[in-house]
Amino acid sequence: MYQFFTHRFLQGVVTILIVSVVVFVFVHASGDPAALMVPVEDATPQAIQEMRERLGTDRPLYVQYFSFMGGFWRGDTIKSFRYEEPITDVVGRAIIRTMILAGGAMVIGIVLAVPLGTLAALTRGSILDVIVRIIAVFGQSMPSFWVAMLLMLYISVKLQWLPVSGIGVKHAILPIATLSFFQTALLLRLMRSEMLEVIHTDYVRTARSKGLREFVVVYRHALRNAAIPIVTMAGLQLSGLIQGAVVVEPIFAWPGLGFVLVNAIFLKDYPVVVGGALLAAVLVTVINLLVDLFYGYLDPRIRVS
Amino acid sequence: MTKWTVKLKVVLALVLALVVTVACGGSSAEPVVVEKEVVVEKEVIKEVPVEKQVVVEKEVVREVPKVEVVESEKVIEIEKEVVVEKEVVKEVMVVATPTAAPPPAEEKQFRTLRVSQLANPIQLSCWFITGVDELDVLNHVSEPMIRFNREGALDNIVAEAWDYESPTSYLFNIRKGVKFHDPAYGEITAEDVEASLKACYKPEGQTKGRVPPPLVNHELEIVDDYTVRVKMPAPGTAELPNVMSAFGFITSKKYLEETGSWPHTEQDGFGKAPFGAGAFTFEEWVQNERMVMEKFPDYWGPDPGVDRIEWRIIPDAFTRKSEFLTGGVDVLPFLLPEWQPEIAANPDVHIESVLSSRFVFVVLPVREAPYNDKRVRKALNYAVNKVEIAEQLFRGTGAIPLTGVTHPFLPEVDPDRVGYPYDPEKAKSLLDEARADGVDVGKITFMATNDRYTLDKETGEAVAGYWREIGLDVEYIPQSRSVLFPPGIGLELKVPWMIGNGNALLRASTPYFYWLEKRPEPRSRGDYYANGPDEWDDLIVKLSATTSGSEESVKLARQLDELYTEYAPWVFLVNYVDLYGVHNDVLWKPYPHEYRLFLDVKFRD
Amino acid sequence: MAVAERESLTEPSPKGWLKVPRIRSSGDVAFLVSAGLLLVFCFFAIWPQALSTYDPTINNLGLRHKPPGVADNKGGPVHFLGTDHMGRDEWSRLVWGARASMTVGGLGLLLGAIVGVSVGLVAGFRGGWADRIAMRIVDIFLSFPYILIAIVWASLIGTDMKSLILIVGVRGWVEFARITRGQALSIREREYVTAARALGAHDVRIVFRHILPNTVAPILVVAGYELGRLILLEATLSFLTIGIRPPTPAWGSMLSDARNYMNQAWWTVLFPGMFISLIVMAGNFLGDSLRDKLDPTLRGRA
Repeated sequence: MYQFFTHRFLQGVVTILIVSVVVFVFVHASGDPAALMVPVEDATPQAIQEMRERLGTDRPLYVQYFSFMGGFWRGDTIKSFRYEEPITDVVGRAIIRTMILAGGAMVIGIVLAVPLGTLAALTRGSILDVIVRIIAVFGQSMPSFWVAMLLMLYISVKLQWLPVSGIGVKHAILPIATLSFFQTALLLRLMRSEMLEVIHTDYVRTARSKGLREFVVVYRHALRNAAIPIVTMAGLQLSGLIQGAVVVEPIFAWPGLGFVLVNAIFLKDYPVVVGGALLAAVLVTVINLLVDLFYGYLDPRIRVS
Repeated sequence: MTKWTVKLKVVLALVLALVVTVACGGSSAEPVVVEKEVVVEKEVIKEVPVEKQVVVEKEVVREVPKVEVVESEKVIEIEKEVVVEKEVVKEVMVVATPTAAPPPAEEKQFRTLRVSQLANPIQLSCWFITGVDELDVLNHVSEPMIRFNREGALDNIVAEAWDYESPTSYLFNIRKGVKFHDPAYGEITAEDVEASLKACYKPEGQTKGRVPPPLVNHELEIVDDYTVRVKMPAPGTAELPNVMSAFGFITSKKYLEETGSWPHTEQDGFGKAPFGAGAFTFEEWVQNERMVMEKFPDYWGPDPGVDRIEWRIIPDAFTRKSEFLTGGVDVLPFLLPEWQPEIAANPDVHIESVLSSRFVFVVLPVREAPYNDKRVRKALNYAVNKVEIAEQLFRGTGAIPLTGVTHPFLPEVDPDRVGYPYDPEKAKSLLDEARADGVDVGKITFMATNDRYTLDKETGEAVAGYWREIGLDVEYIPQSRSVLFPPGIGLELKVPWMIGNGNALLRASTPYFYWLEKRPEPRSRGDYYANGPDEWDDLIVKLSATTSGSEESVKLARQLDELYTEYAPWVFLVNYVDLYGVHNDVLWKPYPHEYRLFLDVKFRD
Repeated sequence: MAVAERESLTEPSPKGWLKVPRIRSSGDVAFLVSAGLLLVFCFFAIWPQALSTYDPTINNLGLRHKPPGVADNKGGPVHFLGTDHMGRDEWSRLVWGARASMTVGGLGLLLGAIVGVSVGLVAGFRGGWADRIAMRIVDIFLSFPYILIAIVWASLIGTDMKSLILIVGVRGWVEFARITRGQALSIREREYVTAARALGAHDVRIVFRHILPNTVAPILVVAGYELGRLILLEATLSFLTIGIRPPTPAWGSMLSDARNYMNQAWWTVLFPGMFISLIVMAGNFLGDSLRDKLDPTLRGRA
């Protein structure tokens, strides 16, 4: 187990490092920020050079990379080009807000998907099953920005049940609903098919033949095995949720990571882009690590392999 | 179960607990901040009565501001605290002004006005202005010397009086007794004016491209504590009011020294928290969410009628409108013409409209082929149906098809000018003529913003469509203003692109003046206005020296307008009518110059 | 790509190595409907002139935001799905919009499949370092919100059709690599592979004769799901205004243009959204029914 953990941990570190290099190189390939920051009238080569020195973009790329990573590690020395604040403040605040959305959507997804998916699988072919499958298909195929617009139009504007946009408890409901729509559909479908697979396995059949009650069979034997892929998928879906947030947050003016990053990309505010992407990657990796551990707990075979 | 898994479970539980704590801490942090902020405001109120008694009487009792974000329990807490504060205030009142009769407490309500903004500004320094959002905020906190009013005339703000001394110099008398928001900074004096203008027009500022070079290179002389003289190296002082009202904001020298410097240093306090002597004090800026300002009780001018302004940053237009219709914002700038029936159908809100000082046009790069051929430029003009754009795209808002450079509401405008009426056949024959002479029109790349003006992306799409209709191959690229404007204004774009001419350009000579002034510094903003022949320079200097609306001015302006239009350096499009959505309990009229000034707001009860 | 897939599914190849069952019962409705839908969209994409009634790029400002069924003001056919914010025929734009989605989604899928399957085969069959590196890269792709890279990339290399296919394809290879590697890993230990090897078969022959044919089924399943996912990615980029440029119709950018007028012109919001949903749904259904058909553990008991 120890070994398994160390191994996964090292893998995570490598992942984060590679992500940081990729993002850094990508972002720097997309143009010179100094040229944008210098007042247009003074955009002489000297002025741009001075600006580069001020921003530190005149140094070799690898030096910039290490200084950036050093600053990132220390937490406050790298500044946003635009916000006049350390990026960790800008991005850190944003990422907490995005996690509220992503976490909310994840919880709703799991809470709805596990029981509904199980029921659908157990009653395969019934009306419930059909409904569940329809929900799953719809949820996965409707673009999240479309859902967001429809929800805002009907819930907030027509019915006026919830506020349109901004930060707050009530304000979070619609963005979470939008994200969880997709999330629920995905997990629902996975849960159903996993459950279908598990209830036809030999050990479940054995458990049934022992005369155990159906509830016990499902709860003790089937659910636990069917949950393994759900847990993995829920962890993997985190990056999917952040992806959804990128589109949904600007619509609801929810200043999370998506809102800040899309803004920063359009403004070419590189430290925020790299810092945000990196923090997102760290977060996703850490959570996947936790998921792996949980996975190891659920499925003893993983630990030895 | 092995002991490893037991340990692991403990570790997992701990980590999860940590994550949950952090997450919850983060999420609950928001309301806590709001709560604090409210309490601080009360402290400010407390100090007021001791300072100035007259204002206190108006300010004695305030109601609790409606803070949506806070959950119900917390609101109750705040209310309790406010009640306590009220009592304290009353006690001070009794001591300070024993003879003054306090007005009935119930009459005055604490009024908050919420206005939607397009984007989170980069910073709020006057030397870093990139859009209207910054100007809206600055005009309330740190006022200019002079400013245009709703009628297009100049009001004295920080200046008490001003006059031309000669074609190259101005004399400003500064209003006496204008108090800064913090008593530690005293009152505005000539030194503050000098420092502020120096900061606003400093050569390395972002705004410089928009400020005429003479003003950037101006000399400022302090005559006495309340008089300054502005001397400029070249004539053209007539344009100074325009610029002064748009880009020069007066703050304290001491404050600038303590905090201000540009750019990207830890000390740029002004950019984060502007300071001045305006009608409102800058209270808070939550990045990407809102900027908050509160009424300054010791303001020299009339009461603005509102106690607190919240500028809410909502980038998406549909979201902005939804917020407006559900009461999330009271004033909605950049209302789309298409929305008029929907807004009109809502009994809680109404539309205010004003003929804007802004018109939009396509800049043609007159030095690049094929646009260096006048026939091509004219053909591109004739091809565009401006009337259809004004009537159909702008849905009868009263937007005016543009027929020349002079703004349609200026007295200098020639009522008979026709510009380039829609005539696709003429456009085609002009192109054929040019082609016959060996001009290769080729593929036209055309750029426009998609996040700045009302219907900018759609207007560009319409223009591209008209050009295609006369058989041209057009690639249309809409993009963000933050990407398009720097290279556009910096003359790096060698393709046609669309921009609007706006804020406060309320003189006929101004467009030409910019263009004239670019000559010593060709990369300045002025260059895109025109690249006409040098012979026009004399006319422009003469026009600049005239009084607005005078016979001489009208004559010269019309002559120039005709020359310019004939030269066709732009594709003339439309002059906007700005639409604002306003809630019915707010009485407010918009300004033609696009700044949203809330200095004479009334509330209907 | 998508066409080829489906044809080969409904008519198993005479060689018989593709283990696909014939359509036997009414239980295959979902499969038929989704395959039919995809065919229709392919037809739209290949020959939009056949069904569109107007040029989708020509503005007609006199006819902005007219509801479905409005008569044309210049004597043309009825606009039976209404007009958009530039007075263009909504139906014609929807039909032509299929071209953008199908080209970007389909070719992106093809690109992703080729790269992903190759990587997966090498990683799974060779193992060792190649495998570790490949799987690390897969991990990164799975753990990182790709949309961020896509946005930076799109604003960097511009957004013509070719760049979009590349951007979308780079996201597409991951799932293919994963599934192919898994199959290759398990198949290479099978007896018949060992036997072939013992008989002196070359690696390349083993891969193409034994491993690849056995991974086709799961690859097709993945392709069904991925098609929807990639089309959604394209729509998202278009929605963020960094996808296909106006006036070329694409469903994502049509939605993006229409969002401000949701209350004024519901048809401009409803139809493009519906078309995106339909095509993604078709892809998912296809993946689902293929999975049901091809998964041996499920097939036995149905």
